[in-house]
Amino acid sequence: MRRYFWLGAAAALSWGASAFAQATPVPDPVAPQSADPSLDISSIDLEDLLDTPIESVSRREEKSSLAPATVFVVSQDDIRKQGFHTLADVLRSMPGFFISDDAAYPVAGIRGFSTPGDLSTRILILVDGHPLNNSVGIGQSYIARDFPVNARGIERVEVIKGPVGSVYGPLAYFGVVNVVTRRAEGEGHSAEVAVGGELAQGAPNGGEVEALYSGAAGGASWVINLGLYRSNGFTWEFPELVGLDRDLPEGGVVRDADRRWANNTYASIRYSDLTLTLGWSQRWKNLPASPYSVVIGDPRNNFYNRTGFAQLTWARKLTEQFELYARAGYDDFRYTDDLVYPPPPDDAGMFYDLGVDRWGTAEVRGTLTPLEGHRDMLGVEVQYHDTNQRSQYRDLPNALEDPVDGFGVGDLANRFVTLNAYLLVEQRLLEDRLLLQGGLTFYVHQLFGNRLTPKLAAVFQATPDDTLKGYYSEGFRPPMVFEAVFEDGLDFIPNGGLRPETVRTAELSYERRLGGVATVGLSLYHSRYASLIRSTTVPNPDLGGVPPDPENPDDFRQQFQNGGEASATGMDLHFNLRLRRTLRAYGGVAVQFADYGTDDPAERARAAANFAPVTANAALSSNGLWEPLSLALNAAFVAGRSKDPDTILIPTDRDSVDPYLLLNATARLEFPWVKGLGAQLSVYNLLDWRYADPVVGDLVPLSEVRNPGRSFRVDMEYRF
Amino acid sequence: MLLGTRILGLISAVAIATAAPAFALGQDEKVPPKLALLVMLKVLTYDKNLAARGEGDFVVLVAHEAGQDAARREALTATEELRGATLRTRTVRFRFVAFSNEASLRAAVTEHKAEALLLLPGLSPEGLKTAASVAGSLRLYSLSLDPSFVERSLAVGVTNHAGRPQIVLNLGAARLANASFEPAVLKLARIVQ
Repeated sequence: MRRYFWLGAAAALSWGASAFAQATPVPDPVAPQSADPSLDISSIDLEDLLDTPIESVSRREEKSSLAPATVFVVSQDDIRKQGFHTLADVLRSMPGFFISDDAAYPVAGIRGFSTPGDLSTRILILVDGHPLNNSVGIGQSYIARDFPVNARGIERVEVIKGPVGSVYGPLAYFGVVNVVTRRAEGEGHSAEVAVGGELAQGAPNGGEVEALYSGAAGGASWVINLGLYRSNGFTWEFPELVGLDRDLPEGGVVRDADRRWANNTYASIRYSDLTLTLGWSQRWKNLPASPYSVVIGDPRNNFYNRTGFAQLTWARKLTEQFELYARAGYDDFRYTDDLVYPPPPDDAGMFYDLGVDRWGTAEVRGTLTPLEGHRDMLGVEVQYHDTNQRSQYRDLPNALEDPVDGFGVGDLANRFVTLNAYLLVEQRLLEDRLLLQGGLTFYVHQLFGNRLTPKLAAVFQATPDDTLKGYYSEGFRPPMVFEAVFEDGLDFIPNGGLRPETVRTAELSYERRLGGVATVGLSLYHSRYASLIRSTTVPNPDLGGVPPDPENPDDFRQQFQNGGEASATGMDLHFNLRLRRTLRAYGGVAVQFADYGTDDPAERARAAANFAPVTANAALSSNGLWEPLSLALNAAFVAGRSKDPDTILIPTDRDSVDPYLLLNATARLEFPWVKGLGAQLSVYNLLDWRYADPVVGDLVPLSEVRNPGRSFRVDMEYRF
Repeated sequence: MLLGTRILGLISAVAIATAAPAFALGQDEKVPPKLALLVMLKVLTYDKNLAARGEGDFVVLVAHEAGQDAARREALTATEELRGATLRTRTVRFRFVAFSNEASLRAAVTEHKAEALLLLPGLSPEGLKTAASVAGSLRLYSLSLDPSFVERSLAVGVTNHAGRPQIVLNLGAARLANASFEPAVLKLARIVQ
């Protein structure tokens, strides 16, 4: 298969090179030329003319074609037409991304990598440039309905694949997801209200209300986005558990144990140079798959997480050459769960976990343009985190409160400061056709040490239609507080000696615009990941050196340790097409190979859990049939993935999950006879494919969770 | 190896920082007239009432005053390059006329059956007032190669925002032209009243 990869890469590069070498007669609508009798202005893509700005790569707006990274953008128009309701829906359609879901949280994978149980600790999630990820590392993935903005409030989603540690510091390890929210459209007021209902497994099971209000007056503008969601969820089937020594509903069918609710609020108020942003989301959900060996199917098992933040930014161009930006923010993250354990000896009532991270942020950034074509950016960001974790039975004292009879561990408080200082230098040459960018970030974590991270990039626009990009970038990820200090008195023991994970990536990409209506791009990359942090089974330290008994689970504990290494080589092909209203399409294919630097098959399988060697995505929409009616289809293909062998305890379990194809379809009608009224019908998992995702070891004896199948959704909206 | 990488990164960043050949960045340049014209004409395709305006050639009257020679030459080059372009099957024709008062401009609009007025940089305040008045009363699209005119009274312009073109829309002037733009273009534009 590796041979085919390189053959494909060579063919694609050869195609690109030949296209590059030819004097291709693609009309350039902008460059001076003789009169072109065939130029149809209606067919030119407006966003192509304007070249949608990208804010993520260099923390400022810039032309996407010249952004020094592999970026991809999905707009509000696509989100609406495709019937996307969560960030996970959007990411699932983007080239190089895939989504795994263990019935607790959907999590995103990039270029094949998605560690089971990793709740967005290796992907930086931003909303309008504000980082959301907490430093505890549990309880929130930020891409489901635990995101402060619902789909109606999103203007566009920008993603960067690959590490961007030199700009953003930690967590931009596999990539960055930046959500840009909608802004007020001119003076006056406008509003949108939408009501949606879900139907699954033959019955109505949930609904959602979304609202967006925007306005502008007296030099100020504002946008408020609200969402309420409630659902009974799905009936789940775990037939592999039937016959095991474990409490289980009849036939392994778990009903009425997947209820969920969520709400979000997002407000942005702009006046002069100031922007005040407030975000809030909370999500509660039952746990049908029941982690940590709790009673499966008990409706009292639940997770709750919330994220709130307030941020004030100020930006002003003080002189023609100097801009200053400052922001101050406060974030509050809280996670709790309630878990029901089996009858005696564990019959002690509800067990609960708590994770808290509250942090304040101050950032100042100056941008200097002393000469035409040259730009320097210097910034520093300081955060103060106050974290806490607790894990105990609700009705019993924990071990700190009662060292003799207490159970569980309470109040693991950690306070620490982080500092992220960054320098970004840009120089444009050759009449703007060549952009050179160099970056350095110095990051200090009070608990986990320092890190210097460089980036070098070159972007060459050979012709208005051909862009070549090459970059070397590094990233890193400090240990999560959960990984380093968490202990629950049951399974987990802490490891204060954890070191940051690191990654180095070299990438070459080529992008070509075709006739003003399409763009195709190809990236080749090689990444080396080191000091990867993994949950490892270790002998119980209480044994005092006595060899553990492999048959006795009490002789073992879970501990996060460094040690994993991986290198990945891959190819990432993407396309973007806009043929007036007839066809809008985007998508791509990502093919990657990983080497884990070990000959031990079990260790390899453990490291490769949930790694997808091939992912493909496509989204199509059209208003060609009738302008008020848009028809859309999106598809996601994910190749077969192996499971962590440690999670396979049932002899009949398979050691990998099959490849799958997920198809979603949406028809949307904007009633021409009632201005502002629209209706939408979506079918998710059109093929009713019961695909499965490998899951983290916490869910043993489950080693995979299968999608519950096709579902429907109807929405009505009114804009005024 | 890691130390070497860091040193290389540091040296490269410093080298790039100190390299200072002064080539055009384009941040503060005006949008090239041809690109601005293309964007403005493209914006018109998002007017829900465009189809109802009629058929045949779509005539854009490039109106200028005496003394606007440089701007006129620049516009002439840009429009030459767009000769033969079509707007929803309608061929776009540019007609250059000099005007000195409202009557002469009205007469030119009538003579050429113009549906849009294009105003050039350097127009006098009185000329701008006249052009806005004529565009409003005759329900013409008013386009400008000087975005500051849109801030005052014309409907559509294009400005340079952070090195890329940005649409500027004056919704009041657009309403006078009986134009109703789709949200798809409104969300990309800077709106002024």
